[in-house]
Amino acid sequence: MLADVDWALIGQASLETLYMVSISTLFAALFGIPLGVLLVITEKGHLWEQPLIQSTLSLIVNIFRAVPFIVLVLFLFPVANFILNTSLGSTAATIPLIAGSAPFFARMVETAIREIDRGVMEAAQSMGASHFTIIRKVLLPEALPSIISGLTVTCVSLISFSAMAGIVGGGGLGDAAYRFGFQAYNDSMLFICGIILIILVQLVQGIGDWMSKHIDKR
Amino acid sequence: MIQFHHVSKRYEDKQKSTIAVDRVSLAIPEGTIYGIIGFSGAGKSTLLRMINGLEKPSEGQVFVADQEISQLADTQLRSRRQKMGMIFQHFHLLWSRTVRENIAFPLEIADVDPATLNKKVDYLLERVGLTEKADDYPSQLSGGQKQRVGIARALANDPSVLLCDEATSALDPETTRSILKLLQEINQELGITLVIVTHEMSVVQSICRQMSVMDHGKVIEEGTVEELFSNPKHPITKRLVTNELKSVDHVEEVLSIHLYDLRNWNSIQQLISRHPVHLQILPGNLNVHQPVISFRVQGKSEDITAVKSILQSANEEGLSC
Repeated sequence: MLADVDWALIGQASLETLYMVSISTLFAALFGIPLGVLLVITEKGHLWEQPLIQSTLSLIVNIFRAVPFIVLVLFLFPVANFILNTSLGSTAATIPLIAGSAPFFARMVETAIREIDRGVMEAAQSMGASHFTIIRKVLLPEALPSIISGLTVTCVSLISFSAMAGIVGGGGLGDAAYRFGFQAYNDSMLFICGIILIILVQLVQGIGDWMSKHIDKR
Repeated sequence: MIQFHHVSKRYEDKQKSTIAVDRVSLAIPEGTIYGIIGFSGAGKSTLLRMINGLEKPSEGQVFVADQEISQLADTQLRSRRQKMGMIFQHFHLLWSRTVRENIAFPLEIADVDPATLNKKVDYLLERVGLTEKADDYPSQLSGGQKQRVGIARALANDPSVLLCDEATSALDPETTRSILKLLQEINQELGITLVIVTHEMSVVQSICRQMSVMDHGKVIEEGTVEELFSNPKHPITKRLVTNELKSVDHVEEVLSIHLYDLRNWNSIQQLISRHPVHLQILPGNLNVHQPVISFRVQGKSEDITAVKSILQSANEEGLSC
């Protein structure tokens, strides 16, 4: 049965998945963390009360989270074209992946920071800490275990979303399973792609859990 | 010298405005230990927090060493705060940092160079008796040890004022005594002005020199501790003082209950409420490795015995489940 498996193709598809998922996880973190911090500190009674910024950001985040991913892919064709000069391929597929996951992760960061005891922040204020110091040395380190858990969840969902990247020719294991497995009536291809995806998810979740637990000193 | 000139603090809500501090004028001399006492909601914490600008007065002025705190710009206020330490009921330590790193935090904020920082932290660790715990995390410490870290942290930038917000209210009597002793030593050795906010008369009685009593946002009586204890004028002061005196024939004991039994808390509380005892949870004794909640129970000894047996039977029932 395994004779039907095109290992070169699987290898290629695995690399594409890894590429898309790691790039988009990186950028989801890069955009999501500041966005999550802003969502918290601009709210009433917090460090930098800005109701207008708060409600605008919240709306944008909700819009991106409400649009189904597959529609997001189509919507962001022009954006990918503008930034990368192409709307096809693995790199182009990371644009909708980032746009879909960054707001999702931002909400997780928001929740993680909100869990911190307000008194700790106040203690830092009483020592004369600036807003920036409070964010960098209190809010983010104290929320780090939860932020890492959130990033793990985001990364796992990115693995599953990346299967849809086939639409823009992004390739990857999901696309390989669909085209060379399902459509080509090649069950072993379908099976192997599935197995690799499961291993990948297990690996990401395992590493994430370990890291989160390791730094959690509560 | 810390001065309040006709200070008020109002919180405006949509419907109503509540007044937390009502036209308070006070002068706290330098180097003293000053107590502000009152029942909860009297506005004493709000008053304290105006000293380091965590709260801004709605009216009036607050001066610390002739500098009007309420008028300082943000950056000035921040550097001024570095010279005012503050400790809290629930400690507010950073759990992601070790004891050493927690104490180093205010020094990092003040941009102290690493060599000086390390020396200073070593000194502070030794001063509060936590040298051996330097690399532990707060979650591994007892309540009293956590407060010692809080004190060391508050002293890091050589403050002239130390603000204590119910600093011993989460601790058991024994630990409270040791913390108060430490605070007293700090006052004597370093000449720091201590402002202590509390609802426990015993705290004021044991270390404060001067005090004021607050009720509904107003200072209703002030003077030296001896004066107020021997000759209380206002009914509230009398109540506070006599409560304390009455407690001479009262006994105080720390009891505990397993976390698991808290699901029966309603019925336990009903049983306890039949006895006239004062019950206070001591969150400072919470410990991950030992899932029990401790209470400070004050009252007549027979009532305490009754409460003890109620808790005991709850514990046994819990075990049989």
